[in-house]
Amino acid sequence: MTIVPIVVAAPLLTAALIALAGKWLPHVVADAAGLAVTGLSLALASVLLARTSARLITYWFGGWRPRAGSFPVGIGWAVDRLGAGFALLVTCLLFAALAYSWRTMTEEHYLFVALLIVFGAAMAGFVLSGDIFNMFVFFELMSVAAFVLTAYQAEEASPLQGAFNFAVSNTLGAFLVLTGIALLYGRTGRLNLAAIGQTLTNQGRHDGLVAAAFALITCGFLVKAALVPFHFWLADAHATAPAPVCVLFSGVMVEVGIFAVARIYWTVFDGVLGEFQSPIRDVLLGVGVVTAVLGAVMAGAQRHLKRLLAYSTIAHAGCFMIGVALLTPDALGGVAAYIVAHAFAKGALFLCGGVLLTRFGEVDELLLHGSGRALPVSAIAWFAGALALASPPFLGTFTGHALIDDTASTMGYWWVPVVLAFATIGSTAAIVRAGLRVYAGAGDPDDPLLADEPGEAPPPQERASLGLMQAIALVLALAGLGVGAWTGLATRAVEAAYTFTDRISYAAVVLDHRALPPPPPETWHTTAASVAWAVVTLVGSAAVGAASVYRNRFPEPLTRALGAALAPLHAVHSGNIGDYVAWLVLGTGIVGGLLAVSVHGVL
Amino acid sequence: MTTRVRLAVFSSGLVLVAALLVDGVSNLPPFGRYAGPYGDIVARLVEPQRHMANAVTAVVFDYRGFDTMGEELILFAAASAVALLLREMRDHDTSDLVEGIRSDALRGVGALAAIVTFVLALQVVAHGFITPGGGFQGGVVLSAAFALVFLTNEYRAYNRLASSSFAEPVEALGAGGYVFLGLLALALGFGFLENFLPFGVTGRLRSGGSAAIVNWSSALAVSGGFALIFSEYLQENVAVRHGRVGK
Amino acid sequence: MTILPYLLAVWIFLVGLVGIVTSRNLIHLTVCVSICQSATYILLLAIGYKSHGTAPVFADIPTSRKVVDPVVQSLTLTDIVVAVAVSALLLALALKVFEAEGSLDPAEIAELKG
Repeated sequence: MTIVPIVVAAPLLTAALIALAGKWLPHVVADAAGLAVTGLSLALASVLLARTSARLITYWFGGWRPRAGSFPVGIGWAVDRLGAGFALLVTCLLFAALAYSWRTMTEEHYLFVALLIVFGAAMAGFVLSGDIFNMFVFFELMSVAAFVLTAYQAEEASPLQGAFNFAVSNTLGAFLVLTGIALLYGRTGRLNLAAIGQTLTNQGRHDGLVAAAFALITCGFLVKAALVPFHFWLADAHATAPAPVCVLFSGVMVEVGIFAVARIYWTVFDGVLGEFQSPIRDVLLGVGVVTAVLGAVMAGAQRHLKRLLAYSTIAHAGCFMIGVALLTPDALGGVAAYIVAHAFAKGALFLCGGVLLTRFGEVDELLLHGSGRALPVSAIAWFAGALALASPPFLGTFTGHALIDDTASTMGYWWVPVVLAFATIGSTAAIVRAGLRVYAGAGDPDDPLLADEPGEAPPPQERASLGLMQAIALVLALAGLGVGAWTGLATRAVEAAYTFTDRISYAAVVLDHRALPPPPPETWHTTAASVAWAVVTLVGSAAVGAASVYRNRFPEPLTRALGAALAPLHAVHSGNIGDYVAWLVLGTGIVGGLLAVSVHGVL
Repeated sequence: MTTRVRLAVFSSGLVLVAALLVDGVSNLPPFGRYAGPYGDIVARLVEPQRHMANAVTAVVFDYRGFDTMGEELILFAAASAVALLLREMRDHDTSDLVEGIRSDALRGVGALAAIVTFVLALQVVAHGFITPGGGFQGGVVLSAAFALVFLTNEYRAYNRLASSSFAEPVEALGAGGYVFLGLLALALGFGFLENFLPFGVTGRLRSGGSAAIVNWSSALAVSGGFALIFSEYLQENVAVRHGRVGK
Repeated sequence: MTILPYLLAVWIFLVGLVGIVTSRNLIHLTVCVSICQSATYILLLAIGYKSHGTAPVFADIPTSRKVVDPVVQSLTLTDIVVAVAVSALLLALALKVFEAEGSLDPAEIAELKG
C-alpha cells in the first residue's frame, strides 16, 4: 500500500534535487538520476497494475483514513486497474522521452529533465487520485510543466506563440473545471469523488447546478483533450515543443483529458444523471465525430510534420471520445486498448520527426523530399508506426477499434465504424504520404493543397547519437504494433472498464472499506465485421497515402474545389489567441448548454 | 479570421455561457447559509484533534497537506520555467550599471523597512498555527521585503541579497523538502505527510507537530520562488536597459 | 438578494473573457486571465461564507463560536498560487515574444497557422 504515494513522490523529489544540484553537476548525473527514478516508478506502477486486477487500492494521505462510513476529511486516492495502467503508460513514455534526450548539451538541460519528470509524475498522480480538488492541483501542475516544456529552447516567436496559446487555452479550461468543482462543493460539501457521487445520488436533484457543474467540468477537460472546438491550441503546441515532449503530449496528456471526462462522469454524475445517458451520449458522440473528421481532414493538408501528427492526434482523440461517449464498459475497454497502441505508435512517429529535425534542421515535408533515405532505421520506425495507426487486422490499434465498432453496432450506431474508418484513413494516409515523400523520395516535390508554413529553427545543440534516438523510436513503434497482437488485452481492458464504471462498488470500497466484487468474466471474440473494417483502413490508408503523393497531378478543377473547401478551415486556425478563446467560449456555450439542457430533461 | 467574425462567434458563446453559469449559481445555497459538512467538521475537530488554533492553516498543511505539496511544486515549476526562459538570451555583466537612486535617506529608510518586513515575515510564518498566517503568507511577505530592497536600493543591492544563484537552490530546497518530509513520514511507518510529531498545546508557538516543519518548508519555497522570479525579471530589465538583448 | 455575490463572480469571469478575446497586447491578455481567476476566488469564498460567522481562527474565541468555512479558504490559497505561477509564465513568454518579434499584438505575431 505504501508504494502508491512513492510512484509519484519519488520522481517529484528527484526533480527537486536535480533542480537544486544540477547546475554544479555534470549533465550525465541529471540524466541518469531521471532515468533511474522513472525506472523505479515504472516498476512500482507495474506492481500496482498487477495488484489491482481484483482490487481497488485506496490510499489516504496524511494518515487521514476515515473509519468505515464516516466523513473523509483527508485526501484519498483510489487506484483501479485502468488508473494503474494509465500511470504505467505515462512512466513508459517518460522513460522513452528521457532516454531520447540523453546527453543533450545545453546549459539548462538539468531544468528540462527536472520539469519533464514533474510533468510525468503529475499526470500519474492525476489518474490515481480520488479527490476532485487534488485532481485539479495535479492538473494544474502538469499544465504548468507542459507550458514551459513547450517553450524550451525557443529562439523565435514561432515556438513562443504556440506556448502562449497553449497556456491561455488550458488555463481557461482549468477555470471551467474549478468553477464546476466550486458548484459541486457548494451543493454537497465534499471533495472526495466517491463522497460527492454518493451525496448527489442520494439527493437526487438534477437541477441547474448539477447540470452546470457537469457541463463546466466536462468542457474544461474537453479543452485538455483537444476536442473540437477546444482543439486549436494543440497543433501550435506540438509544432513548437521538442520531440520528446510531443511524445508525452500526444501519447498521454491529451488522453488525460479523455480519462478525466470518463472518471468524473462515472464516479460523480452517473448516479444522479444516469437516466439521461441517451442525450448525454448523443452530445458527446457529436463532439467526437466532428473532432475525428476535422482532425483527419486537417492532417491531410499539413506539410509541417509535427503539425501533421498533431492533427492526427486530434482525429484519434475524437475517436477516443466516441468510445467514451458510448457509455458502456466494453467501449471504454476499447478506448483503453486504443490509447495504449496509439501512444506508442504516435510516440515513435514524433521521435522520427525529431531525428529529422536534428539531422537536417527541417520538419517541412516538401523541403525534406528524399532526405530520409539516409536514415533507414527511422524509415522502418515511421512506417511501423503508421501501420500500427492504420489498425490492420490484429496489429496496433485493431483491438481498440474492434471493441468500439462492435459495441456501437450492437447499440445501433451503425455509422460509428464508418467515422472511425474515415478518421483513421484520413490521418494515417497523411502520415504515409509524408513518409513516402521523405524516406522514399517518392512523389512530386510540390503539392497544391498543403498549407504554407515557416520552418522550425534547428535546436542549437550537439547531439550524442542519432542511433540511440532512432532505436528508441523503433522500439516504440514495434511496441505499438505489438499491442494489437496481444490477445489478452481486450479481455483485461474490458474487465478493468467494468470496475471503472461501477460507481456503487467504487463508493463502497473507498468510503465503507468493503471489498471489490469481481468483475463479470469477459471473453472477447473477434467478429468478421471488425476484421473487414481493419482491412478497409489498412488498404485505405496505404492507397490514399500513396495517391496523395501525386496530388500535383490531380485535375485542376478538383484541386481548386478541395482548396476552396479547405480555405475556411485554414482561416479559422489562425494562430491568434483571441480567435481560439472565442471558439472555446462558443464551444462551452453550445456543448455545455446541450449537456445541461439534456440533464434538465428537455432533450 | 476577421475581428468581426471573432466577435460574432464570441458574443453568441458568451450569452450561452452566461446563461449556463447563472443557472448554476442560482441553485447554490443562499449566500451566508453554507450548509456543507466539510468545513463544520474540520472547524469542530481542529482543536481537539490537532491542537491548532488556526483552522485554515490546519487544512492547508495537515488535513489537505498533499494538495499544498502539489501547489508548492507548481510554484517550483513556474519559477524554474521563468529562469529557463529568460536566461537564454543575455549576458550577466552588470559592472557598468548606472543606478538612479541618489538619496541616502531613501536607501536608509528602505533598508530599515526591509528589515522590519523581514522580521514580520518570520513572525507570520512562525505563528501560522495560532494566528492568521502561515507558510504562504509569510513567504509572500518575505519576498515583499526583497522587493522593497530593489525599489529603494536598486539592482545591485537586491542582487547581493537574493540573486538567482541563491534563490534557485532555496526554492528547490523548499519544494523538495516538502516532498522529502512526506516520504520521511512514510519511512517512519506513518502515512505520507502524516503529522507525526507531538502536537503541543493549542495557542503556543510549539504547536503543530510536523506540520510546523512543513510550514517552514513551504515558506522557503514560496519566498525562494518569488525571489527567483523577481531576480530573473530584474536581470532581464537590466539587460534590456543596457541594450544587451533583443533586436 | 442572496445570490448577488455569486453573480458578481460570474460577471467578473465574463468580463475577463471579453478582455482576452478583444486584447491587442499580450500583457493586457495576461492580466485578463488573472481577472478570470479572481472570479473563481470570489465564487469559492462566497460559497463558504456563513452569516454572523467569524474567521476560523480560535486563538481568542471559543471553539463553539460560529466560523466560516476554512476549507474553501485553503482551496483559494492554492488557487492564488496557481494564478501566480501561470501569470509569471505568461509574462515571461510575452517578454520573449516581444524580444523576438518587436510586437505584443496577438494578431501581428500569429505565425503558426493552418
